[in-house]
Amino acid sequence: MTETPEENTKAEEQASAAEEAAAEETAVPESDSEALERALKEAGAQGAPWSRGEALADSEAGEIAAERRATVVLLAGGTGSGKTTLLASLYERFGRGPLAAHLFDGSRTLHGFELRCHRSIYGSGPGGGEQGHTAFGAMPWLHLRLRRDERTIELLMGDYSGEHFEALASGSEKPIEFPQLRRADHIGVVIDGGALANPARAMAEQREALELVRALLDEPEAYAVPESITVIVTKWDLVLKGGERARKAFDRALELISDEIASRHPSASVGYIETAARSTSDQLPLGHGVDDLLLRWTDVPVVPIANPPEAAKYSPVGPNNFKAGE
Amino acid sequence: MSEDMRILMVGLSGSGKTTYLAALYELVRAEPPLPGALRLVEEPAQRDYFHRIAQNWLKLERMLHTQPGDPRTASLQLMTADQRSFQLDIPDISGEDFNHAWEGDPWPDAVKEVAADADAVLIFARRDEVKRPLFLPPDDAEPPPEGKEKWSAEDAPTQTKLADLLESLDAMVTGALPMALIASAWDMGGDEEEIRPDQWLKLRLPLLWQMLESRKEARPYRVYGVSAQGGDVENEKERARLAEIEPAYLRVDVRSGEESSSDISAPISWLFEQLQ
Repeated sequence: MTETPEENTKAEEQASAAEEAAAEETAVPESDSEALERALKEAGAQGAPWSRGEALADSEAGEIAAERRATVVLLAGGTGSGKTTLLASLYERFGRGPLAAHLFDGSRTLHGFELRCHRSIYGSGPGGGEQGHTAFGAMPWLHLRLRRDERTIELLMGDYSGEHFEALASGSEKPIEFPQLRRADHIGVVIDGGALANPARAMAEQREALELVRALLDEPEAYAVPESITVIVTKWDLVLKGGERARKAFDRALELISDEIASRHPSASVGYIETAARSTSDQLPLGHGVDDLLLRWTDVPVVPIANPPEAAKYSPVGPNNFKAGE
Repeated sequence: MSEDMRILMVGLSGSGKTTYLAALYELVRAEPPLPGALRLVEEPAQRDYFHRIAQNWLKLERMLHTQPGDPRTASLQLMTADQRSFQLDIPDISGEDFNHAWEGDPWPDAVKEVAADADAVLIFARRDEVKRPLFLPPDDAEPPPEGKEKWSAEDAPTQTKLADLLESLDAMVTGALPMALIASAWDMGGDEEEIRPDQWLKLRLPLLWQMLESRKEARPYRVYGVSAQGGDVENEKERARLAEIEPAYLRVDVRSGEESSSDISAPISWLFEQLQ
């Protein structure tokens, strides 16, 4: 039987109403995971049709999430901050062999990963849109199925255009209008290390990241838990090359974000992960930090090697168990 | 007792599926038989097809790709060395079907039906035609040569295409099927040092190796290096050498782990044992 999109929507509305009524009747509060599945389904109701092309639509990702408890990751950062390159690098590393004790066990978006790698090398950038950035409205979800020990991990990674997050930071869009945030097990606030290393752009980058975090925190119902937020700094090689000034710019950005989170959630602390997907430094290997990122997302203790002990606000403990900084 | 075993043969276009079938047909009906190898119980319904490809193989001719008129399912009534007989149905997903699916077309319904009934899978990949993956260079690397800006699905790495095939199969088949990976043209290793087939898979197709390895408990697999012609038939000297070998099935070289034999039916025997 084929249903029209209208019929689908109607059926979903009816099902949703029935669920709400049932929930009220039994007075059993919706669990976090149920609420998150629902948020993604709501997002999926407006999704684009299935394509094996560049990525999965919300609706396709919702199917995977509903079928198996997927780990959902959103990289939130401005245009050109390196979100897509980071995801391409993660796939590329698996193309060489196991990564951080994880085996690649399949993907619904191999085309998308290949395309992003190709564009990174031969095109103007991995996103394929203007100046190589991810286009607004492009289908966002990349999928990896991984195996670690006896566990299968379905990883859904949202590769949204930076314009979405710039709109959140500027206040022209509200986090609550972006239901994928609430479904995310991990929200990676991406800071562009290249911008931090550039004195003319450093303050603006700090401010943009802070405003994004602030926008999120202003709407606690828009995200799952504060512990889902991690700072990811890309292009760490450029921070290293930028010397003390660049390092201070990063420390300041992290301090601003940590203080902001601490002011709302005193028991929470922010962790950060430094990455250099296409490192230009001899001190850092290509794909630097991608393994830490994966470990963070798959609930395995983060290896603290990438993060020097003096970064006191970072607690190298279980990714979903970040403790208070001090 | 007679049983059916449906083996799905899959692989990229030109990955050696037909050559494998030709050499298999020649082996299972050879006299005297190769000890331990499978035997043919009766001539197949598609005898003319098998005869044609076996003739090509005997003449050391390069095998033509599957033709439009060729049967989509080949069946052989076989018997193990210890007298257990079974019907081997080999529904072939053509390399073309596979290429089209990777390039974005949906799998044909006929293929989905065939896959849904499969009991085991033979995956083919040519040792000498592995397209390597793209590695992301440093951000300040020299710009690559022009003319490659447009991405083409066809040019994707071999391991990605095969991983996608496995991903599609998982969606089409019911249950976890045992798999034998045939690294065909095993003799065409070129300058590559002596290596076991399982080592080759891990080294040359790591993405596929990880997929197979990650589910080996539920979906056992084994890797075979198969030289179904026994050598490079384009090379006159080699061709002359191969033509001297009698019985012809002794041309074949099948490697698995440290073992080597001429038994090209070994992967099928192994799959059969997995299903017992």
